[in-house]
Amino acid sequence: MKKYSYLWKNILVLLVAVLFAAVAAHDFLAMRTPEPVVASKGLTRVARLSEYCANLKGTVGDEEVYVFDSGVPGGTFLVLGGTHPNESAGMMAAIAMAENIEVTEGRVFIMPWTNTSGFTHTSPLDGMQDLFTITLKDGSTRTFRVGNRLTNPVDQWPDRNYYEGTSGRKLVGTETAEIRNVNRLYPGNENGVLTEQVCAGIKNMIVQENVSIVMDMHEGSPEFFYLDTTMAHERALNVASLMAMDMGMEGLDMKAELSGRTSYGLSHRSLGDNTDALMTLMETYNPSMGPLHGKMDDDLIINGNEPNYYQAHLDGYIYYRVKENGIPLIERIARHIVCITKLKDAYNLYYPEAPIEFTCLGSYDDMMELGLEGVFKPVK
Amino acid sequence: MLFLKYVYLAIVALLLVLILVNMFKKDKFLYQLDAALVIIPLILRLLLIK
Amino acid sequence: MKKIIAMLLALLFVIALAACGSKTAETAPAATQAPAAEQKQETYTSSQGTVDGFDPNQKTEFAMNTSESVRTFNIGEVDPSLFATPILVTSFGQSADTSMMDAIMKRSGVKDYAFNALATDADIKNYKTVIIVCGASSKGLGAAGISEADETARAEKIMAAINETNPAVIMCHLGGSMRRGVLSDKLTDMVLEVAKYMVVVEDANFDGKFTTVAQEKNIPLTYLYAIKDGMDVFSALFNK
Repeated sequence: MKKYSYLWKNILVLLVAVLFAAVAAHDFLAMRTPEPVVASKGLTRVARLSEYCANLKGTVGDEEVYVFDSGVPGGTFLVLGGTHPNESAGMMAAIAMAENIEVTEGRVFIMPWTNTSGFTHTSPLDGMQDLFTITLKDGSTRTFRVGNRLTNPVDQWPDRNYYEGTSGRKLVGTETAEIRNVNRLYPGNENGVLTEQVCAGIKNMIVQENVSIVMDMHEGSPEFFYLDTTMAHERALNVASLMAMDMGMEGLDMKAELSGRTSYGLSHRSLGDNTDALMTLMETYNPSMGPLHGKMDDDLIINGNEPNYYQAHLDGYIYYRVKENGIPLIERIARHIVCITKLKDAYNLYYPEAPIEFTCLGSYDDMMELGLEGVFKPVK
Repeated sequence: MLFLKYVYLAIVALLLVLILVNMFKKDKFLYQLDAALVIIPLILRLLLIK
Repeated sequence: MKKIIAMLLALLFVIALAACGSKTAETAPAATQAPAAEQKQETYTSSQGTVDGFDPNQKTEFAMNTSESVRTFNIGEVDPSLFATPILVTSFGQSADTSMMDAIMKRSGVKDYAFNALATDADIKNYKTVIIVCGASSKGLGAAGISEADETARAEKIMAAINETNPAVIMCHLGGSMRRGVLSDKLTDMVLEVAKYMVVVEDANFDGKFTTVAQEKNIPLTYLYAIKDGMDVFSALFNK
């Protein structure tokens, strides 16, 4: 009897363990469902990245590309969101654009989840929040993911101790994990690791679709020097500078910086060097990415309010002009979208023979008035 | 590299089996609980969920 | 003892499985490697690129004439009739500010101008006004594929051509304190020898350099609070 009694205890403990595993699995698997996109009427097709890199077919990297083709000949604008899934404004701005854009000349391609695998996990031991929810005007809610900067190791493993990307960037030492970073592996390799295949798909798409100009949307921690800055490949610098001037005229700080010649693997350098597209990359402020933030919750993600960073700015440790009440997500989304709109206008001035024309959510003030609840559409 | 991944998963599966076997040999609840704590991430890893 | 070791090993394994995220610093450290002999590319740097001698924590506070409410400040009076078209906009130092000057010219509605950051001495004779944007940037020089020595030599040749053909020269310094350094100042000083007008983002005047030059050499100077404030200045200058 004694023998049977402890056997039952074992089975019970095992069942409880399996139950815990199942509950945890449910949570983890919930991150594999992409956010629904209520695309605007101008959507002409949803392409797949595997159309440009066949090896991606059937993998998590075979992501959706929302194509808005006006039918009027002109240039093509590619908007990349979610290259780093922990940089929420990038993905959110891309989704907001896909849901509200009206293209009247040329085409616009939007990728909300450039690194789809990165959205399926968070950073271990960081106390990261994986999902956040916003309430829309009609009272319904929408939930969005906050992922990890890098591809999920479940999808791509192992990280090599030494790896040389096609750009010549050597991933070694502190950069071994960057073999899972989309923004270090351009122009990619169709036969490389999963992340490289994604990069190759994007590069091939730019070449095959004759993309004229690209904006890669990012965010940076408050310590990052290049916030409210657009990095531009040398061929795109004039366009980016004009955009920065125009943003400044609207009271939105923006600097245009030249892409470092040795920033191998990054979109603004390596896609600029390997395609004819004008390459730009923009950064906005995100306090949930830095080491000084407190508990990660909806307030931090949605309101962008972290008193530690405001104090650090007052004490002279943070160069960026952190506002007392933080910089909310809607402000960063609006900044990205206005930047893209101004970039389009600047591009048209320099390249009137291949124009791109679209409207999206109006001005910065319009978007601030709409708020998150007005910018995003209810999912029916 | 795919081969290496399957080798790794085989090691995880082996470890899981060994822990289960050892767990069932124990009559002290604390040891069983210890084993259960280890089993949870191993299951998730074996199924490539986490 | 064996059981303790076994438990510790198991714990280590759990931690290794559950905590396998790597350091994901948002600011990638500047990684430099000695290039292999066969490598064509130079040592790579982090995505931040490089900025000439700028330390954001070393901002010098000084009394400025411009502010949020006073966007421009003039020392002396510029005579717009000195500056005729066609105009050339070029760079000494290859900083990104040169592109900002192109943006200013576009938005100011100035029509008859050419933008060439790498203009040579042979181009100077074709223009009646030359706007030189001063500010050295290692990134800019790298992007242009030229060395500091090459850029200095190009600047010297352009200065020689200017002395021959005598176009009206406007010196623009738009990078603020960020664009003050050994090379930047050397290139700026070259242009100040012949400049008939200066347009400077006032942040660069932390040591009073430009005010002193304006007063000693009697060169009209306009301070800008921000680069965008140059639009009105150049619009008034060229759209007369």
